[in-house]
Amino acid sequence: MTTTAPEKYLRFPLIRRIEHWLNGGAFIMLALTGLPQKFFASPIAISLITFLGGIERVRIIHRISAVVLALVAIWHFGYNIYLWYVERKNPSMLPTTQDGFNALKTLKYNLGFEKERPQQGYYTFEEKMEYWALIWGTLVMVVSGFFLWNPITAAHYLPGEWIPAAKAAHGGEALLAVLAIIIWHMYHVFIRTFNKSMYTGYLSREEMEHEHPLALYEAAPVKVEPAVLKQRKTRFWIGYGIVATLWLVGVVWFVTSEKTAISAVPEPDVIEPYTPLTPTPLPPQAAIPEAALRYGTTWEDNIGTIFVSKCGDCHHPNDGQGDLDLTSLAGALKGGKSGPAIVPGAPGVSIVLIWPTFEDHPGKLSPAEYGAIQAWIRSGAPEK
Amino acid sequence: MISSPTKRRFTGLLLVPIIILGFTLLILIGRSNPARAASALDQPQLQSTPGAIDFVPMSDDQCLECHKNTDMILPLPSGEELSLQVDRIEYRTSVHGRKGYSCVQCHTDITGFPHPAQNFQDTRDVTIYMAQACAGCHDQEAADYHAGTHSSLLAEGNKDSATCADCHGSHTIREFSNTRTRIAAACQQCHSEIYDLYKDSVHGEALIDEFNADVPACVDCHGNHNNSGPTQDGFRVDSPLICAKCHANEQLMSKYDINTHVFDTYVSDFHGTTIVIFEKTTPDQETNKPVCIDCHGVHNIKSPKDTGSTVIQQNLLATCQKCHPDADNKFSAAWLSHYQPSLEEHPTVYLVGLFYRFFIPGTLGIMALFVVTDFWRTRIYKPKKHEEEKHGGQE
Repeated sequence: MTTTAPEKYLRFPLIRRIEHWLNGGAFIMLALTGLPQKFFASPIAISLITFLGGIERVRIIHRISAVVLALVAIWHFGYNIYLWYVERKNPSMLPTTQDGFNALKTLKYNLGFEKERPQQGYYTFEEKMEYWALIWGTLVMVVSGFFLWNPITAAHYLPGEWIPAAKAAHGGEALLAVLAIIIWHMYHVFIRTFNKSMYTGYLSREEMEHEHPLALYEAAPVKVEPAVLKQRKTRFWIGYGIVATLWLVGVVWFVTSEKTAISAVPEPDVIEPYTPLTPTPLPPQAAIPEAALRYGTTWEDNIGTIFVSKCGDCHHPNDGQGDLDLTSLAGALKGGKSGPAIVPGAPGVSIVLIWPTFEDHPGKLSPAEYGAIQAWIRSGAPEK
Repeated sequence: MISSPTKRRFTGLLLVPIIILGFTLLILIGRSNPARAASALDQPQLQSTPGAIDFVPMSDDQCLECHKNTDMILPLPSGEELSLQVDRIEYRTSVHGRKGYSCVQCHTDITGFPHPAQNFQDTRDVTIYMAQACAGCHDQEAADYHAGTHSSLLAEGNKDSATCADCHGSHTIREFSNTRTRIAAACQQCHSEIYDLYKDSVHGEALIDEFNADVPACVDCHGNHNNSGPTQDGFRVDSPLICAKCHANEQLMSKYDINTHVFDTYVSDFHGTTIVIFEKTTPDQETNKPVCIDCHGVHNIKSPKDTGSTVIQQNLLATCQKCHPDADNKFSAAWLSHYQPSLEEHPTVYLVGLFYRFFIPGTLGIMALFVVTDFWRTRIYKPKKHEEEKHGGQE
């Protein structure tokens, strides 16, 4: 009856390892791109976002990883149903009451109240806890993730308040999942024992005897008739075909049902910034006495005479005072050292009216002469 | 289960780096850095003139002898007329006049009569030229001004852009404390359309009609000398912080019974989170995520209780639809209206939060209990000698 026991046992065939690492990779990417969004106030989160190429890019990576996770889930579901229904493998991942007792006994052992650890089967209660936590977590994340990815579609069918509620659940569950992986999974596979089966596929005989002793005595699956096997396969593919198609359609709907939340840009209100008020008009200028206006209105009509008689003695064409000649209109417009003597239209800034007001200027104008010249310059200083 | 050849094991080991490589590629494909180099504006500096001077070449009386005349009007090549008249009483009651500054302390190029020739084409040339007189004493304000939008527009050749006297006036400058409620009127001179929107807003009504100094005037959001606006990088993304300056101020808001959690609750929402991340990573990013003004309005902002408000319940969906055109009636309820979830307000959100507040430590606590005790039992615990013997005897 006794056969020589093998040195090592195949625990995870290649396909299971691919599944694990795709799932693990997607999980890590989701955590790396998701947690910085939850803890955005932390400088570490900001560095990570910058390293990954900005928040928009982070969100795209998050969504691609989510799709990878959803596809792995379709595969995982189909493969397990196949093994259970077609090959009649023992559904060894299902939790049993024995797992509860095992957990209790393990705790008693750890605390020193028991002398032996419980003997466990192909999957220990620790592994089942890990697995079902992952299933629960994925369900919560997929449902709440849909709300966040497609808020308009979600709010069309469900109360709007469920969207911020989904955000709270997505963030809470994410934190729980990541910490659970670190505390539970990392401890068991790296610290408690370094379990290489997810790299090599194998556990040694000692490892099996120590961790999964009951599995060594499990009966091999019974051989079935090829006809029965074929019938089961057909049934499986019909059932799974429908489920997988619906699932895939669901993923496509998930990804494509709305774009609004990520692509719509509001139309900015365009307003002309520079719309000046009408400037305040300059104050009205003082009226010129009527008497002055009767004095003369053009250079030839008496104004020139005032200049020649009052100013011409000093400001004459032959090297006059200040290089200024006031005996002709051309000379007055040309001006001297201080610039033009007359600014047509602007008596207030015409030097010819300013200079004689200074005490040290020998020549003076009578009020009537001043008014006449002022009126003449204001009207543009015409010659005739 | 029977062991397979070592070749299979090799394939399995190869798997890990392949998948890691795949996800690394995913990151690298996306790693294009959108950060743009900040455009440093090289601005020509206004020539600084000396400030207060000891030697006064001309007395104010000498200046005013001519410059009191209302007909001192200088025609400029542009056809504009520039009044050179100064009202003695107006100047003497201005802040500079009362402190005894004389004309030539600003008009430093005037040392007597006649005055040096100038080549002003229009009145703007004069106003812009005279700004250097202000910079002579007010060097900090001038430095701030050079960092602002008005200065950079001027440097680009836009002569309409405001300089010192456009806002402050020239011979009639008053102390700031007396002009707080007149700030908007200063800006109105050039930005009259924006002023018209502002004067009907909740802030504008309080400032202009009630002389309420608590509300923001233009400069409180845009800055005064170092002013900025939406055409500048970062202004939009940083704008919630401008609102938060007052709206997160408990003391100020309690006077008006306004919720001070508006900023916190905005930041913890999806929109606000994204804006904060943009603000920290790529502040010059043009973002499609809303800031305060996108929902509440900008210059025309109304009280949320006002029926004309963009955020009052009956107008809220229309506001959401500006960015989410497909949104229908229940969508706007996804926004928590700046409430912190509680049993009364948004209980679903509150209860989910509450659940995780217990579920996370509960689950992790149980896990930690197993892990810590397991570590203790397997690595630290040493059975006592007699127990070991007893145990050994039983086996």
